[in-house]
Amino acid sequence: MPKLFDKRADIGKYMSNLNILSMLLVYIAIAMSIIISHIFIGYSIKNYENNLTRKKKFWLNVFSECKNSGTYLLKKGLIKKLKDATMLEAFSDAYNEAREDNSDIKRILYDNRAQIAELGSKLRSNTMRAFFAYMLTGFDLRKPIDHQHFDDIMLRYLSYGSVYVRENALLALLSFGNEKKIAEAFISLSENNIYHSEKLLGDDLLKFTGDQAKLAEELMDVFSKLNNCFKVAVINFLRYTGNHNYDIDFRNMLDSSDISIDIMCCIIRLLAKFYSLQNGEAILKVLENNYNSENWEPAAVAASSLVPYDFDNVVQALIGALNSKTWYVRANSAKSLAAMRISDAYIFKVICGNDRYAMEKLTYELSKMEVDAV
Amino acid sequence: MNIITNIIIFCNVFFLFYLVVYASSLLVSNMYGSIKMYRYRKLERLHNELDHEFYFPISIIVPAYNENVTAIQTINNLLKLDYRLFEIIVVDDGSTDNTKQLLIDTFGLKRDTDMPIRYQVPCRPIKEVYKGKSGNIPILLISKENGRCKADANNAAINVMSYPYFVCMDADEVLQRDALKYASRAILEENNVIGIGGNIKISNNVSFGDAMPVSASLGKNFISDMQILEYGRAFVGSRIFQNLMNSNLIISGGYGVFKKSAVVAVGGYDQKSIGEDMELTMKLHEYYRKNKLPYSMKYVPDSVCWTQAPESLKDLKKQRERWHCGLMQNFWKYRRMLLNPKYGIIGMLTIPFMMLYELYCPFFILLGWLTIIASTILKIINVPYVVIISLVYVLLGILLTITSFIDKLYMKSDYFSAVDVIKGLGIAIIDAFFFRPFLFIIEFFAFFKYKKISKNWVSPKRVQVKTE
Repeated sequence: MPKLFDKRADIGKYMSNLNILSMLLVYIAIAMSIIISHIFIGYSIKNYENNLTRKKKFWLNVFSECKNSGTYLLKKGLIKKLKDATMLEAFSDAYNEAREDNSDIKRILYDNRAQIAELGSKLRSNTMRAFFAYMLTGFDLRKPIDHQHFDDIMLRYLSYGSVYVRENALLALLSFGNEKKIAEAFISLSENNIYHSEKLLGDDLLKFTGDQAKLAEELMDVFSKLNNCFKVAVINFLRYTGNHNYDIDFRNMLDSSDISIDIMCCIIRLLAKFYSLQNGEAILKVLENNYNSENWEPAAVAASSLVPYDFDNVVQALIGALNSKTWYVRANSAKSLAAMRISDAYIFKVICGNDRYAMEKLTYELSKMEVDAV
Repeated sequence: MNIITNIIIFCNVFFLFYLVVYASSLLVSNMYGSIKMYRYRKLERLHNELDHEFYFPISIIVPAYNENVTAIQTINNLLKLDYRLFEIIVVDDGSTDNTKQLLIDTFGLKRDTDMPIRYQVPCRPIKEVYKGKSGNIPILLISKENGRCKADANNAAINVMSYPYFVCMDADEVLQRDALKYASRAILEENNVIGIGGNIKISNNVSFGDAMPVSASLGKNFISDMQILEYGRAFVGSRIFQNLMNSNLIISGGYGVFKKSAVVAVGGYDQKSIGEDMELTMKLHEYYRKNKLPYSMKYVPDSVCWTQAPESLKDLKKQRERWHCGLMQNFWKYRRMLLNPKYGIIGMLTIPFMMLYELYCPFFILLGWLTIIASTILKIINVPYVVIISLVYVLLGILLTITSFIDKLYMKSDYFSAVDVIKGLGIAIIDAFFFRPFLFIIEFFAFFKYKKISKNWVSPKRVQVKTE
């Protein structure tokens, strides 16, 4: 450090001591090298398609030779080439193209399954792993004999940190059509406390290529072991597929005190899809118990789910919920009452009540129904 | 005399460190931005993406005050979005032109009388709500009392909207067709994402087809071209790096996606703020960090919105004065976060850095020049050496600007040619010697015009975007 209190110190000395100029020149060199690397990368991006086409032709030739010779076992050296991203892409594209003309091409995967699985397990980067999983999804490996070597690798992929690896691995497992492996995957993710968006999970489950009813059964068998995001996904999956075989279990869950709000709301939406007196009673109970509580969300969902149950006790409960302190409960109750086309006696009761917001909301919804009807 | 000499020496050493720190941070953030952009393309090529048909329902808020030139075109572009579930909410903020009637007539909107509105965040009274649809896409028009600011218009829309996420944008912008898709993917990637900042690009010399750019070269207007380079520096060169630390202090009001419940929890936009976008972002940081709630605010470079940039120095001056006043106002309002460990890296690093290198930069530059002059008079400076350092520093700045510009290589649906790069180099040189000093002067005087600027802001002249 310079001596600050020397007389007439020469600033140049300090600057040279600090080597500022050298440092800036190094920075300039780095910036220049970034620009030069951009030029090279730009060139390679431009040539990427040509490069991919060339490598795809290579693999198509390999498949053609295999077909002619009748032997689909590939040399180790060829499999090793698949560690390169473009080679793997080209392999995938070539395989999918060859599949259209040659039904025997599946033997490439079958005869080399151990090697390809080993390749998948040895891939170092998450980017490549995610692509590997994506590639397997595209290969349509529904028969157990086709995918059994890849099941465990895909399950292992779930524990890697990347959301893309997880998502593609799950999609690969779903494409294999083995419901037990899906249940195993969900348990593994839950046990390791790994978060995956419920929205993604719910939508992904619909892509299951096997028997969806069996999948539901497996998932319900392990339901209690799952974390909340997976439970939500399972309930939504049952709703999307119209599976109401487990409604009685879910009605019992609604009575539980430690159930999460998200799960409660999902259960109500599921029960609402299937008309039954028991479902109606369960939903009504949720509304009555929660319309003025801090956990208002289930009550709001319940209020919008009671339209098919136009019994007197339900109407009364909805009218009571019009006085809820929570906007959404009042709004949904009003919408449901309007949709039920309640009698004038009920309407009059609300209008003559003390709650101005209840009256306004109900009359608004009723007038909207009239306009929509016209 | 010795004391004066020592003070000047101290100042000189301080400025050296000031410049070195800034140059280092620019270099690191530029490099990181470039690498990350390259990786994004590679990830996409290798199907490392969350590609779904349905994402989240989103409300798109379009505040409009006297926007009859651009509002219809903006809405028509929004209708082309490649996204399944969204609604468009136009807020006519007491326009004195025919914006409202134009929208009603063009989209066949019908008045929804007596619609109950829940005022969750403060705004001027909403007078009327009109509703309609274009295909399956709901369009709402809110007509309200003029709130004299965009914040009020945004808040009004928040009070009316139905969906859990919203986009804030301007009425003269083109939201790229795939913008919402990329924003939604970012929300799915992590839990607790409450805000997404998009990439804002300049549309002045861009032609659009179906809400996607068809051509995007540098134009003939130096001022807008310089802003193209400037935005590239800011967005690619800086904000991607800030993602690392969850410390983006600004999600631009020109394009941002927010979780409605988070914004409501902090009371919505501040109607008294000049820079309401930065104010909201800082408020969210403060709220979530103070309450130790997990959250994330990300910048997504592939989620793109194209905006009009001022093409005259006069309009540019007004814009930058307002931005700088907004900066001043927000740092003063949130001064409790400065160097406060309770706010983590934001309080200890991001805010001090921005104060030194954005807010007070004009003062430091002025002080720097005065120091050099004084040092020269006192003959305690090696003038040629200082000149060399300055030129090298400027050269570094130019190269980093070009680097950010060339990062367009990795942008989806962005175009440039070799001619653009050469032209960009020329503009970067003019930028270093003219544009940036010009901005520093504006920002310097903005300190003294704060009160005047905070009361009177007029939007720049609007033009329609080119479509093919």
